[in-house]
Amino acid sequence: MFEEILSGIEKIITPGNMIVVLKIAAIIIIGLLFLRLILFYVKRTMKKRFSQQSIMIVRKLLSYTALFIILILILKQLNVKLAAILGAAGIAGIAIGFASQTSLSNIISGVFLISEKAFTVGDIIKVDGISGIILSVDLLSVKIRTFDNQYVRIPNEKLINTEVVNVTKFPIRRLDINLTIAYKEDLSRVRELLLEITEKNPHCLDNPEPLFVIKEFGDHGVELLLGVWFFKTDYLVTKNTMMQEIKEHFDREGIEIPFPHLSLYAGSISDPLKIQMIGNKPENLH
Amino acid sequence: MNMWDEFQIENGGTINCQIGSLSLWMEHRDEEFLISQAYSDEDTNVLSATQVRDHGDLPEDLSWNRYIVQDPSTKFQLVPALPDRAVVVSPEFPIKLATNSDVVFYMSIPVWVQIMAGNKKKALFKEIPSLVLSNTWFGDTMTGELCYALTTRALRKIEDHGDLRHRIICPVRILNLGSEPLDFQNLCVHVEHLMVFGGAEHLWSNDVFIIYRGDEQPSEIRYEDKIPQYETKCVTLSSERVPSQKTIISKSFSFIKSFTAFD
Repeated sequence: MFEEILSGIEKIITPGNMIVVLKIAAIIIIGLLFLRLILFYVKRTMKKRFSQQSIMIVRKLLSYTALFIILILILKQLNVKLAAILGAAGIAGIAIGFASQTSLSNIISGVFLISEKAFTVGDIIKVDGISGIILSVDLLSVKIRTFDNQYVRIPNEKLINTEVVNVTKFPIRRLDINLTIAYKEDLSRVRELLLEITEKNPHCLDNPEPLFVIKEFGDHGVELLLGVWFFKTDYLVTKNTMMQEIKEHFDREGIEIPFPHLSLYAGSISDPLKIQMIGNKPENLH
Repeated sequence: MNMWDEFQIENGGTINCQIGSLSLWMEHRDEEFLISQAYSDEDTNVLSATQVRDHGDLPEDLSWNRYIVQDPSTKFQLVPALPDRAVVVSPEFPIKLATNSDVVFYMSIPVWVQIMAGNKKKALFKEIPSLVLSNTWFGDTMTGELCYALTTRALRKIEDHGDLRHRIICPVRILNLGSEPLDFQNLCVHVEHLMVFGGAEHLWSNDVFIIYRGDEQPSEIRYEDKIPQYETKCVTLSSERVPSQKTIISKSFSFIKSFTAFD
């Protein structure tokens, strides 16, 4: 048994076959080294002029092409008839094509997405309630990392058919803060105070000027909108500092933020609300 | 002790520097240097450096940053620099400049204090603005650049600045060659292309010369590389952050008053 195996190995490991194996190893090693070298120089030369996404696409195209060439060269060394394989690949391609219509649709969508440049690697997007930073834009899908560090793969076909919000497309954004103040408050004073808070906050941009709108006379008070502009990377710090400063200033100035009150009765018969009279009238009435 | 001269901090010693609204403390503790800063509400005209005698005088809520150096005899130097981004200067009151007229404004810009450390060759340790400037945007909402906002009195005489030692005076000459009066509301000065010079009385930057040719035309901006001639014996204290071409064609005036995009 052992002798049979040895003789079988001896038949395979002939000097001729060894040369072929060495040639294949050389093709793989040199090919991969050459590919790495090309990818390194492509990255270095494209870094200054092109976006991260363009660099990624070029690198992927080069990688796939190089790997295909290496495969062809290996098959040639093994004396495999390429014409037959390519013919079979063509037939298989048609069959696979029919079977993978969704994938083809994704690829075509990917081409449109890439050419449209609606977003690029590093942008923050919102799709169907998911928001995150784009890690890669590939032919089949877009990969994003959500803010709670989850990896989400969104098929390109979905992105073509869905509303996509690119949060960081433009360098500056407006933070809209909706406020409600009691009817008794002096609107001019509130406006002055809000603009003063905005002016003092170093994260709020002086230009474009902040937006102040008296939206409507609501059920609980006068509804206001304060829109402050900020640099796209300062979202959290601007929001937190502004909300805190508004609350602190309103408390200090005695400006009331009205809110609806809800009374809950747990199964018992509800008593009438207590009313306290201020002045010379009876103090407690039920 | 001259504020911008080289100095050493003895082990256990603390130095307090006051530069406008900025209070800076530097302490030498064993083989470490500790730096802390605080801002007062008012931008007062103060420029002083003193040795702290009693450590009980230090504010209690200071948060220190620790810096470790190989040589405990390291020398320090505070270097006045201009802001690290362009500054959009807005005059307190709108100014109109008639056609074919020129004017020189002396803008005062807060100092950015660079703490340099080292004996032979000094390296930047930390950089602190003497006044926290708010951000502003120069350009439209889709393209433009992030700048610091600065309101200025746009004084036309150096004497009017008085004893202004904690700010850098930037002379800006504007020539209006446009067909209409120049409505000077906002001016973007790329201070990162400017050097800082120290005179006997003031800190200076190079002269900036702007030729305005109309709203639709880009302005021509020149950053002079000569030492300012407003004071004798001006010495270079810091070089420009970003070297500039001598002439820059740029849209330097902004007429965008408000953005009312509201959905």
